[in-house]
Amino acid sequence: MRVAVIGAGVIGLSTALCIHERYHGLVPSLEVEVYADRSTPHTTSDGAAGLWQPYLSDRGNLQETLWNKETFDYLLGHLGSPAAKEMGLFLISGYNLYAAVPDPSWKNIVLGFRNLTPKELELFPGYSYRWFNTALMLEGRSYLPWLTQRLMQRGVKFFQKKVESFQEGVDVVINCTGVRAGELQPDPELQPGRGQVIKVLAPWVKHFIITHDIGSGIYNSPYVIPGGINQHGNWNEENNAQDHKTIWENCCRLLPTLQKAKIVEEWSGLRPARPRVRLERETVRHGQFQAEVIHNYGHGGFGITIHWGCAMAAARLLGTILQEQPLAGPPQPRL
Amino acid sequence: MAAPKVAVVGAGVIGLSTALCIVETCPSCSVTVLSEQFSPNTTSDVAAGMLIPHTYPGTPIHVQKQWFKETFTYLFAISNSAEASEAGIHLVSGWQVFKNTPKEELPFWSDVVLGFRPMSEAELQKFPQHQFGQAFTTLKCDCPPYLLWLEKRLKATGVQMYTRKVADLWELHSEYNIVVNCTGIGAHQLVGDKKLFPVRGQVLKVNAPWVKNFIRDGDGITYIYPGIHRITIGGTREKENWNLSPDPGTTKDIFDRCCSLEPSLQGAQDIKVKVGLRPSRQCVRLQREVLSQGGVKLLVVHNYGHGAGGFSVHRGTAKEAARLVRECIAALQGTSSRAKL
Repeated sequence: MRVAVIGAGVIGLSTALCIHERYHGLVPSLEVEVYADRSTPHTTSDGAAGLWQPYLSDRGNLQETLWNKETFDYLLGHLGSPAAKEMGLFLISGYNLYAAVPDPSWKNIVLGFRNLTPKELELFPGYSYRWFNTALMLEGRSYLPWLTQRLMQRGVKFFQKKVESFQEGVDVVINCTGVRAGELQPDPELQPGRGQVIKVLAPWVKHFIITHDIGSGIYNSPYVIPGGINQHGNWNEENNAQDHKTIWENCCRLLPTLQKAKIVEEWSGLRPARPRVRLERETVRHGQFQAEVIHNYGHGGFGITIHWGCAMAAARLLGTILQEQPLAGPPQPRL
Repeated sequence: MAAPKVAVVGAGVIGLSTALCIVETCPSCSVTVLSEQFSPNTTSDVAAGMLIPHTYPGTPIHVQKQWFKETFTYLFAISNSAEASEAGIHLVSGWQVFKNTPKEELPFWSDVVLGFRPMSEAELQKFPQHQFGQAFTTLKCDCPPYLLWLEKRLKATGVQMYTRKVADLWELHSEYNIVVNCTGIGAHQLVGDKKLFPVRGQVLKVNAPWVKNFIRDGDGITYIYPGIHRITIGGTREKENWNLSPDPGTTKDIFDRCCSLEPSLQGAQDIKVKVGLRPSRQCVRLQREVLSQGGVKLLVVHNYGHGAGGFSVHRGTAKEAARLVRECIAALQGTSSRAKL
């Protein structure tokens, strides 16, 4: 039983790990392989700040809120473990500032969610909705290598290869191709949400600060990552000087101390934006070949926030497929 | 009279902030800082510099609260300005956790720090050995940056600073009109204050940049305070112990206690051990004194004995000390005008 995971961002790697952890002992013939043309540190996930926080509006997707919660609880459980540092996982507190919005779906998932007190409001004049909470940071640049190591230790094979179609001769394909999923199967609902971030060295900033109305936010990690331009529909992966100026000015206005921070890197990426995550099973037929495909893409700007809940859901879908298969299936041509 | 000449003895956080307050409120004064040690070798450099007050049994609570409030307000403004990183002042959020619920649930400073509230059940789960906790956001003064920033501001106003061990305040009477005694634990010997005693503190400064929140055990002895580049973890409170050498057994004990509060510290790198002697007293000695010897008078303002709470109240006590210096000047001017009659 060969399962090919396509994509080695946070979604691909975590789905591969979840599947292997769950079924390797139960299905001795299970072989999990990961195919990707880009891997860490060149994936979209690597540019993410890694702050656990869903969008303000749940867009009516209760299922996504549940997956977010599952991810938060899973990560919280790992906080005290020796692996936390290697995973790039830690607690972080901070501020959310918005012009006009009700309490978010995740207010009871994070820790210590509360409104700001009058004195704290002095820090951020001009915003009517202001919250404080403690959440988690999971840095892509640490987490992806950690996932890769766990997978390699388990004997999962990696192939650097651009997969052109689903008909590649495996039993199950897990499609975690993120923003480029449209190249494997057209999906008009999937659009790139361009993001540009500036990485600076400002180790005295211990909080995250996110605003939504002027499109600037500050995420905290070993480097503070201010930034956050969300340009819908722009496929340009190059850094843009005008965006840099806008981001920088907005962030320095928000946090005057940043003026003295040293800029160390600039990065642009394309969020795989979709009205809802595509997480479902599909049987793809072409001639005499047939493959079961599990789609797991379209996580927008909250991939890290939702990844484990989705990985578990994808694993459940695989479980259904495994139950349907006869124990010894017909031989499939090799990739 | 000519510009009053003021000597501030001591260049820790108390000496430097007091000198600055004097310069700010007394532009006609000529201020000089004399100290045996300057940053990074003062007691202040060992401290984490967290704004969480220590309670002085001998000082009225409303006075301590006023000192803390003045200090907090002053530093809060700096933390929100472009100077914050140079001054080493930054906001930090975290938790104070108790194994047993404390008698007083609301400390006197709970409405001065930001966002003070009890911890939720979910937050307490991270601390299985503790039953109760408080969450809040406060300020941290990183040393050496803060002391260097104070030195820079002093130099910009023309204040001279000299490395000099003052063995006796009378040494200074011919050069200075007023002496401000900010010698911390040094006052034990300098002015023979037997009510002043050291409380030895050993701390570790470690590299663990993923720790963004502070954690403090309510007993005040075990704590984790994230600074700009390093985390200060500690500590000890050893009364009447004058030993400035690090103790390896204590280092291990501190590390173990802090790892049980924050397991990820196991991965901390590059551990540096430091020791400081908190200049402890029932109450801060903040008062004027007129010393007399053979018909000669020396006006002294004492500002020492801040124990575990120096950073938390430094600006408040510095302002009070500056006020006492102005009283001294008024007294001197009164004397000299009488002499002219």
